[in-house]
Amino acid sequence: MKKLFTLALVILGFSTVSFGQVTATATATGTIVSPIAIANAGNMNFGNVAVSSTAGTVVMTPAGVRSFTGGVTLPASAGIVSAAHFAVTGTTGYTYSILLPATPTTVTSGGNTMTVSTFTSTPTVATGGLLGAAGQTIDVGATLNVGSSQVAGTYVSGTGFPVTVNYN
Amino acid sequence: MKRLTLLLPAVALFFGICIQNVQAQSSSVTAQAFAEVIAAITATETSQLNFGRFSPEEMGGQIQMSPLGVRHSTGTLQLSGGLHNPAGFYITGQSDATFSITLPAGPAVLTNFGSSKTMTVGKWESIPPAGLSAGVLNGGSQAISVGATLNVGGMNDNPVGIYSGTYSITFAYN
Repeated sequence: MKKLFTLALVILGFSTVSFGQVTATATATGTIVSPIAIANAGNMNFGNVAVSSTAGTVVMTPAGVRSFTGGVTLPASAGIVSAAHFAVTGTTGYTYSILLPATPTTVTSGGNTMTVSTFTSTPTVATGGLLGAAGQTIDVGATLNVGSSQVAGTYVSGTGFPVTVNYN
Repeated sequence: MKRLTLLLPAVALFFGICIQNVQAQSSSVTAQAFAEVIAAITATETSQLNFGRFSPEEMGGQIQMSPLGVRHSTGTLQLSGGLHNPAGFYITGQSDATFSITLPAGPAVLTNFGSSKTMTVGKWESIPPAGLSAGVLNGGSQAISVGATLNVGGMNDNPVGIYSGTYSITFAYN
């Protein structure tokens, strides 16, 4: 009698075991931009103002041009007249928003005060700013509110008025 | 028997590495504001315009008083002695500031209190002459002289008496 060898062939199927995993590489990038910075490049000077018993205002445009209302007159010897200037630096091509003071600033001479309000700027708050290769300059004007028979003197702000810029 | 070893590949998980943009978002600075309120301009009358004494005679005439105090009459009018002078004003204010001088646009009326008779004063002139930036406050002050011409009627129109009136001159920084 012959023995039959039964060969059990165990066929092991090598299947490509898929772990549901794929290896891929990706590139991570981060851009560090220069911080936005703003510096004072010139204070605001309303110059010489002549007063009367009627109150009035001196309006200074961001271009440094004065006009008046009410009982105020602007003498021919104007004194030092300038809008405020700010130098903004950061990364070229980026836009930023400009924030001007919402509340008036007080200027004082001895015990006498006046207020500076309604700040305006070039570029305007509505437009915002755009940084060129050399940054950008913001010019700021405002309105000086002069009282009736305002006492003579040199009026200076105390803590000053803030201007803030934000990348957007 | 060969042992079949299934090699389990190591599983590596790659996490995406994110780098968020790091930037200073805002910056703020303060600036100062300056204003110079200059001393108020003041004007004081140092002498009143006075045409002095005269008699109109039949037809009257005119008396011209120059800012330098020279009095001259026309017509039948006769000048008498006594005090007469142009108007004088002393202006003070911000040193070296300029100011305008505006003389009356029309005549001033002088009235005799008792009879209510009137005479007019016109043709105003000043030293320095009127106009914008006419005056300069050298050292903070300047003296202005003002003269005019008095129109006198005949004896019936302007009987004897003292006639007086007011007029205004404006000095303003400009």
